[in-house]
Amino acid sequence: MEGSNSIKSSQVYLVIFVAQTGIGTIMLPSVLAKEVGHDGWISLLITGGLILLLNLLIVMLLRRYSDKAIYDINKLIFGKVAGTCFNALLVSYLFATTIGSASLFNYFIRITVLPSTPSWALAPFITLPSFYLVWQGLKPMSRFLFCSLLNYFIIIILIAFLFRHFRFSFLLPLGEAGIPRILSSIKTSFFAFIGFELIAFLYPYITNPQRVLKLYVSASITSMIFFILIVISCTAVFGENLLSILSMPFYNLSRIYNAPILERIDLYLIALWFIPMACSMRNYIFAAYDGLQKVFKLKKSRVTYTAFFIILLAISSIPKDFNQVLILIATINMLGIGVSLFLVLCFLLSFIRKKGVCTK
Amino acid sequence: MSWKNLFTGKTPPGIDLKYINEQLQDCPDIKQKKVYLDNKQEAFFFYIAGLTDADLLQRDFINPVVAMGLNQLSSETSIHNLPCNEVTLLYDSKAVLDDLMRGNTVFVCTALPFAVSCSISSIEKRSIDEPETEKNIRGPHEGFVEPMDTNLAILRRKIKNNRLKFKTLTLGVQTNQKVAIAYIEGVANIEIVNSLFEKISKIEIDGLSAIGYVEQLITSHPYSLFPQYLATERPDKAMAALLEGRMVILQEGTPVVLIAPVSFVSFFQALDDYSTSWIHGSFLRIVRITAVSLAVILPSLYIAITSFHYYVVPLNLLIPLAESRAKVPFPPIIEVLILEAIVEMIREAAVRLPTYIGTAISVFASLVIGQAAVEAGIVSNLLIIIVGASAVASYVIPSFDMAMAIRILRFFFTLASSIFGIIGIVICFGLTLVHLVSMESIGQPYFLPVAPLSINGFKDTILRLPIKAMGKRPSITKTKNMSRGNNNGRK
Repeated sequence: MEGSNSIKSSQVYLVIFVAQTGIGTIMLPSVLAKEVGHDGWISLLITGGLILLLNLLIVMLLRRYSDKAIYDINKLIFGKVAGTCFNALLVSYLFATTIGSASLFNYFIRITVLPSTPSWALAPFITLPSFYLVWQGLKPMSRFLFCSLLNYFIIIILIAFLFRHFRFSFLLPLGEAGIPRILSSIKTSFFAFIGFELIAFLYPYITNPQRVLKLYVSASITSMIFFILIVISCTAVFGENLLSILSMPFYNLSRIYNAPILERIDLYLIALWFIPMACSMRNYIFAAYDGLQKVFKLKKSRVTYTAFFIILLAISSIPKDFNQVLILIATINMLGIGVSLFLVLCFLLSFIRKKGVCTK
Repeated sequence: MSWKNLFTGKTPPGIDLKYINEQLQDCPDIKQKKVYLDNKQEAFFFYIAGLTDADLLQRDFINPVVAMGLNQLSSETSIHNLPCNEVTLLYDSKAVLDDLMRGNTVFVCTALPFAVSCSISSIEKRSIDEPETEKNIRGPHEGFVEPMDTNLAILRRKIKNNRLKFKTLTLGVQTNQKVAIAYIEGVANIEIVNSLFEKISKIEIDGLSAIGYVEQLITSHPYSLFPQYLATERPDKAMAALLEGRMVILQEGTPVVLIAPVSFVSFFQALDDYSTSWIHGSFLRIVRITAVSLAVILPSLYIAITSFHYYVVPLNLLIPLAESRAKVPFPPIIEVLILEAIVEMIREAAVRLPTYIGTAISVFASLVIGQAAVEAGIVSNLLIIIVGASAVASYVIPSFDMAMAIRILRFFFTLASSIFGIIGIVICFGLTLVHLVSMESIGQPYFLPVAPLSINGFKDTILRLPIKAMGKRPSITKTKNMSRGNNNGRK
């Protein structure tokens, strides 16, 4: 285990929480409003419950193989050839998620703050901190995640200030969308929680894995509470009709607050939220580059790392408009569901193929 | 000595007077006093004129040695009875030369198998004054000086405890300078002490004209803008660091010492924070943190707002700002760079010039910048306030190294904001933060107590809580003796 990558269970909490909430929060309220109207929070509650179950199964799988990552587990369950193929698919998923996050991040900035700045100039600049920090390792990354928590407190304070604008009648009647629509929206809500599967890739770096389950589950619970808070706030402020036509209601939320003296405080809040967004993207960048090293025996060097980043930037600039980015994100959402089910399948197969299973 | 030995640089065995004389050619500062033992045996006293007390040399070394005679001098026991300080026997010519270079007086007689070294040094030194660059109000007014022995004595006088230890070593291939690491045994983590000692002992350099050489050669992040060792001339600051379990590096020939391990917040702490009420101390801390934020962000925020996000300016301010900017022909970035460059030049000039000229320069500069530049339409009124506030804010930082880092950092923020607006500031802030969290000071996290989080450390970060509340030593020191004092003054 590399010293610069070793993290504690408490840091796993940060990695998972920020990976889930950093990017997932931005469009979630409007996407859910389109599907289930003002009952988005119920969808999130049900999805959150499912995610907790998945959390439990994933940790049980990892514990069965002691200190191994999913890449080693696959080889034990499926054999060397099939295992390597699955590993390659997993790394492709991580890389695709990284590209999706980078594209989304880039477009958010262009839409909200710098509409005239070309992508080729903006993308390398905004990924500079990630380029530096991922090279430093997972430990400094998780230290930085702690600093990013300050942004969450600012958002909660903002919501507290907006409380007088809330119209709780916008949330009523409860369950109006009906059970079938709410259940079908689970796959949409699932995207918000994507990030929890990262533990399967980072597990060997955890120094005290015996405490990880509690903190891992806590991360998902905190994310669920945060999502519900944002969705309820947006619905209570805008109402489902307006909400469904806003593309980034999370930002619009900050626009309606009139601070004394300062004009347009939303600019500062939007700028602040870029830090958790970048952190969320960074977690996937690390997992993808780490996966490339492990699966394809890629040596960690400045050359391969720089090449990895150049390829990432090049591919993430392919989507020509925001709709293409949304299609990419929808695809990643489906892939994320696939990866989660694959991890459950691995857990079930580990009872049949018991090679490498920890007997303690 | 044979020509062969001279060529290879080998020293002959035993004491070779001819070799010593050859090595001391063209060294007029080294005196050689000839005496005759028992009125027949030739012998010599070697000493450096400016480093030896001539009266003591005559009284305590030359007179007793001449009086003893050759027979008595052959007995090592008799030599140790000489009335002078620190008598050492040397058995080869190289040792004689080394000892002489350290400022000792050496007695050499070819009839004896050894030379006798005696320390009767007298070095011209300045008095112990308060450091010019680190003034304080309620603390002691003394500072370190250039001779290391005096500095060690100052520390020993402050910490009257045999657990105060000094690990010494000699550095400088040409200069042979003494360097010491001070620590308190049982308080400092001995593994960190040893790792620091090992790092310093690996230094191979001709000489160290300042302690900055040591700092730069042992630093883990040589390309970083931020200092990783806290430089100070104040013994009280060094003492406080030692009591917290940190180490102090002292070097012969400089009054500046280095403290390690240190975190980012250490550079914003001053002794006055502790010598007054905790409320006053906390107030000063908040002032400094605010000052640093302003120093870094103000000019870049001006550029971002005037170039990209004019809509965030309050309406009442927007019209005066527009009027002020209307007279300026340059874009905001050029305007800021012109003014920042002038301020930096004035600052540099004021440091190099004598105080009375420095004051005149300041008055002249404030007139030129304050009025003429605005009237000439080079810069706007608002920018004068911003750059002035930013410059004053950077003076608030107690550490010169950190103040320099902040000054340079400001230029990165300024340039980034001129291209990317507020996103430039956010990304620069992010980059600075990611750099800080990934840095270490002798293996300890530099951004403690924020990341990794240390609740105990927050008692002495943004606020300075009452002394009684700070019962634990900082976790960055990795000390095994976490509790301060005997219950830290609590009853």
